[in-house]
Amino acid sequence: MDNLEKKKKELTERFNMEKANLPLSMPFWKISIYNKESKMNDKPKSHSIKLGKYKAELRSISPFYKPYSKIFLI
Amino acid sequence: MKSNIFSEATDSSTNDVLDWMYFLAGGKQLERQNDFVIPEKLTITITDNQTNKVKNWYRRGKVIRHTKRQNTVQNPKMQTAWENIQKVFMVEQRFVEEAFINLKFPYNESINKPIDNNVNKIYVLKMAEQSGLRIPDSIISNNIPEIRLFLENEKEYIIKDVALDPVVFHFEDYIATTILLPTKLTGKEIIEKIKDYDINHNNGFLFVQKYISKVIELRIFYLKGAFYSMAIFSQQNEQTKVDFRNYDREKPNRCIPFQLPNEIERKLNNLMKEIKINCGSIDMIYTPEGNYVFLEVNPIGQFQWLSHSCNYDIEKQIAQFLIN
Repeated sequence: MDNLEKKKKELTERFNMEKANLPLSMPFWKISIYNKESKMNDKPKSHSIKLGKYKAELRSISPFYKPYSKIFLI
Repeated sequence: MKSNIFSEATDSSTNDVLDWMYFLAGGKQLERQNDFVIPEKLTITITDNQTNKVKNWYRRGKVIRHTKRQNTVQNPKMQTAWENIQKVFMVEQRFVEEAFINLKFPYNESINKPIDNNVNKIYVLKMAEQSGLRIPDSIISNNIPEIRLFLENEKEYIIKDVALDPVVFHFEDYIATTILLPTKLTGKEIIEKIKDYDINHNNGFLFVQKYISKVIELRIFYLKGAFYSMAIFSQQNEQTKVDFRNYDREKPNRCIPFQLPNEIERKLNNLMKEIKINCGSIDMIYTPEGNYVFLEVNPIGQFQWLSHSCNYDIEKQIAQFLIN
């Protein structure tokens, strides 16, 4: 069992011990654990492109897609 | 005619609609705001024969209110009076702001409104049943004996959330998240999981629905009386069998256009009018017995996937409504 699995088990046990103070749906929760650093690295790097019109941004762009900012240039 | 769009900067559906608006009308008389900001200086004028020359679309985004005031009291003896006066006058502020939102988004001249975000799943389910739609037998309760009474050992059920977002928190040197995903369990398994709770436990609710077998799932985009329906073949994939929203990105479900029977469209139309939502994504299932069963409505759901998969012109229809 790796560290994350151990921590997940520990957190599940703590939730079970605190059952009386937790919502009734607690036994049905899906619990996930992440390393802080890896979670930070997982965050998508900002590649958003400001279109320059109508306060719009695109997170990623399809090479075959012509946004209206380009139509405007034509 | 002026058009206002309230959205988020990176919402790509908004950009698709803007493409159409630009193409059809050159983007004239159009203002896009990211988030809906209630003006600090607020005036509502109500007179005879007012004509509305603005069309609004609330796509998504935060509602920025002004219900907090800085403590400016000089004399400490006035602190309690100040706090109580503020509490009462914040109620007034809230009332005026609610009225401002409702008047800014009249049903016929707008698409959605910020308060659609607060649609109540339980109320909608009851209204669907009253509109003549089939729904799964459901219970929402914090009363353990009542839940046990509803459940039958061998039958299958879905546990859902009423209105919960994922919870994110720090756990020692880690980050933890908890979420309630729709889960299929037998009555016996649910009873087993809640058996250690004291029957007087009074914290949180359980939303349990009878599981209904399905042939296909239906995602229906509703726009002011028009239906854009899509069938999702989610049953051949274990990951998407219970809920297609457990997306399998490697092997996506097959999605095709679907024509709902007129009677179901009429009932859905009645429901949407009853809950006063003029645009939204409706989830339904089609059962092996040939029944259409209503599950829920999401007023600000993504429609791009449906529009692209079925080659519908939803973005163009929204644009045309806003510019005409």
